[in-house]
Amino acid sequence: MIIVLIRTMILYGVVLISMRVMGKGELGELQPFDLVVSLMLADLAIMPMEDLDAPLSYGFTAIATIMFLQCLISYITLKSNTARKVICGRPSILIDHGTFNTKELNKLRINVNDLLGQMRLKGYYNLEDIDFLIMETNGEISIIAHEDRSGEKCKRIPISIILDGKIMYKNLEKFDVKESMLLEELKENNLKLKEVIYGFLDEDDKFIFYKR
Amino acid sequence: MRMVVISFIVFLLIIFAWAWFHFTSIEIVTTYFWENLIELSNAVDVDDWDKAEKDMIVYTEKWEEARQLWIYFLNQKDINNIDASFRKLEVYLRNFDKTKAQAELEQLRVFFNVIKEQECLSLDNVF
Repeated sequence: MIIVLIRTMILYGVVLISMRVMGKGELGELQPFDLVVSLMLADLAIMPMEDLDAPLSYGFTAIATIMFLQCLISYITLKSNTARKVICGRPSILIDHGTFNTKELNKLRINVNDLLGQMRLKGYYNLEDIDFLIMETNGEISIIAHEDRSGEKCKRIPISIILDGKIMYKNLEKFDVKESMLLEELKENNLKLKEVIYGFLDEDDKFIFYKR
Repeated sequence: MRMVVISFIVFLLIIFAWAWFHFTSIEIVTTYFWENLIELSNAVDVDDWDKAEKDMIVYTEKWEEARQLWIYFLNQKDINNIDASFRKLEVYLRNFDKTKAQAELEQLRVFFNVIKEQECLSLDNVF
């Protein structure tokens, strides 16, 4: 029984790592760890059904182990940005104002034809209509376009600066935003850092905060 | 958070159930048969069929008792193997068939030892 438990833990880890290595393209609207669960659960449920010699406790042990790992990983990714990046990855900007990010495209093993196909599926036929094309962590494509704003182009995607009450120092550094400015802005809005669930810098360099 | 706690409790319960089953049943029962079936073998060896028959009754009862719990945790094939081996052994003892009884006793010991090795926590078993 304990062997089933340990094997399930190892296989969960192996399948999760393989899904991360294979990349977002394989996910199809699920987070990597969600896909691992859906891949494994179906087979685990069938195992004791098909093999009448195996006791139900084998299947129950494996399913309960998956359930525990899934809850644990969901909780960890909810609480830790680092864990979220490692387990779910981060969104990739594939097109930025007409410029293809070939480094990311190669990394994700997506060719331009696939990308143009995805654009067409979203209803965009001209690259000029798109400001940003982003591949989200679940493998879905999202497009930021300027068509709704009378031709005005989106200068930059919003920069996350506070997530779940924590300052995203890497983003501050990357976009040259001073921490003191951020703290001052929080003070002006009568907000404490812990109260902010999401804070970002919009394309006009304006701080926007959302309270818990 | 509540789901994490509940799933963790279930996870712990499984580990405790395994530890309880392993240390209070598997270890004890397999060691008992591994050691005591030798005595039965010795009795058969010196043609003490009365002692062999009496011992056999004790062992069969002990096995039936362990079997009630094992069916929930072990593969049915392993349990069936032991069941079949006990039945054969009974017949061989009843017919005073020394050679076949000795062979069956050895096989029975191996069956118990295999279960003990299969269920213990070791790298061999995991991989």
